[in-house]
Amino acid sequence: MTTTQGAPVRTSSSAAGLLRGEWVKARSLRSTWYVLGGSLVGMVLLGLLFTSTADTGGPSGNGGGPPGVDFAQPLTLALAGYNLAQLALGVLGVLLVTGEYASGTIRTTFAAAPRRWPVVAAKAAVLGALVLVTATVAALVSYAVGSAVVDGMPGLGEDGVLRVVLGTALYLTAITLLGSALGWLLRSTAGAVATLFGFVFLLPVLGGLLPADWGPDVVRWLPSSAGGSLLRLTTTADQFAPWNGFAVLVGYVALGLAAAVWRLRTRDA
Amino acid sequence: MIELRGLTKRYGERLAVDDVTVTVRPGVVTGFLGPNGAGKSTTMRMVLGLDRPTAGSALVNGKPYAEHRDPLRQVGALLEARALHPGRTARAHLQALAATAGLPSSRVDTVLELAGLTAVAGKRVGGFSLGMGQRLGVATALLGDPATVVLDEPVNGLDPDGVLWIRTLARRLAAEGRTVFFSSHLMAEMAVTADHLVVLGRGRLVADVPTAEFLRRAGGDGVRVRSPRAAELAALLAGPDVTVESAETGVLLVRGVPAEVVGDRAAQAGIALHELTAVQASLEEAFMALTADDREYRTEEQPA
Repeated sequence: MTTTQGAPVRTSSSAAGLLRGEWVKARSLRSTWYVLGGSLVGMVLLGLLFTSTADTGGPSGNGGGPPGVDFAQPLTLALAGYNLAQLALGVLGVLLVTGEYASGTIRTTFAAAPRRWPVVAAKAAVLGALVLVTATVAALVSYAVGSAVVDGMPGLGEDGVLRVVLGTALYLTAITLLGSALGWLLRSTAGAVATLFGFVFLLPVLGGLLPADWGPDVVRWLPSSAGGSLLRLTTTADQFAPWNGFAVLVGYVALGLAAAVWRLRTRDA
Repeated sequence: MIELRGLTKRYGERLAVDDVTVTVRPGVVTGFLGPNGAGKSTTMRMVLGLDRPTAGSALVNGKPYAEHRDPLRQVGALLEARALHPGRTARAHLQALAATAGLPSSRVDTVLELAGLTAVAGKRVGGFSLGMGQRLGVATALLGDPATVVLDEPVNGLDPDGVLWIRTLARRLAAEGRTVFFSSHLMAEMAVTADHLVVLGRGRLVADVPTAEFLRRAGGDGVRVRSPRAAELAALLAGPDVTVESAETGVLLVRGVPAEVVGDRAAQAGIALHELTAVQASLEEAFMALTADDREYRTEEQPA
């Protein structure tokens, strides 16, 4: 049976094949590169903006700025662009999944790889690797640019500094994968993006309105607050210790992806 | 080979596919006919393991689709027009799929060539016409050189050239010994392409017969005769296996006697003929008759 010229076709569906397929899918969309490049450039430029205006009390001149930016700490200032980057990268995580549902290619994907969990895992691995590399570069460049602009930047060898710089990249990767999990669960771009932003931006703000005696105990368990501990040189009693907090965020990601696999197995594609 | 055994799919109260048992055999083109909403696409999705049957099973080459280690080698499918990401090039679309399924990348060029898309392989799919999208869908279906080919409405949106291409391709794939399962709502297309017909109406199996048999059941072939002495001719032709109908004065529809015999007998009797035409029963008529009660959306049910 050869419709087609050539030797009989042999197949070997494998983990390597799945990863390669997801890599081809991610790299063949221009939006992937726009988001990754935009996040990198945006994060570095914002860091430059904050560090270069640090003397005058931040860009607005009154010490105001994004929540969580401590204008007394040059390191936090240099990396403050992560706030914007997580938005773009989270959307990328959503889009690489919901784009398949919107275009219908998800059916072709599952026809080629009928088992659901390896597809979810391969997509997460490829996306995670892409974002980890990009965010690591962005964090290191932001740090270097900040060091050149502002006085008093702690050295990479100082306590916790390297952890904060590389932790920024880890945090951004985790938020991206959270977006991916929400994409699988909700299948709609708008729904998943709104939910992600709700978790990352809205809930911490609403949490601030809770009574002071128990509010902080709730807020520190939120994904962005818990994961954000990794980005602080020093944490307060209201916050998780850096790696504990990050472990909580990773727990949310794992839970989200596991729920996604369960949902895919029980629901029609 | 596709084997459906008591295949059932229920969405809430509604039975989309109702206890369908059919075997789609290799070596012939099997047409899958049914009005919109009859359950054709749902059936095809269950064959590919995309939707889970409520009851029953769908086996492909002896196993459920998802249990095959090389699924794209077993079944290639065109499920819906444009299951394509508009931002991706035709080549990237096929390369991603080939990588996922562990197929050699040489297959990508082969199927691009086969679908006549080599020249536009590097163009993003968003700029493709409906017909080009369909061709890429067919290329996708053939990527794994599959033993079974499932095509859901493949001629939709194609120009006459494209329709002829699909028809020739389907027949060639069947001639190579593959199983070809081909749905269309274009019944004229089915009459010329399909050897065998599976007909669904409101989720239920209405017919599973060779196309010729389906047409014969519709009333069979006949001869239309126009003559000023039609009544005399009708008496002359009468016989045990012959039926003669007359819908209007001077016109007869004769079944059971070939046109040559009708002409010869008329000549012997000196009866002048003004028309002598062999007529083929239409697949449309047969289909309408069979599915009259099973159409999901009937015009008379529309609110006034």
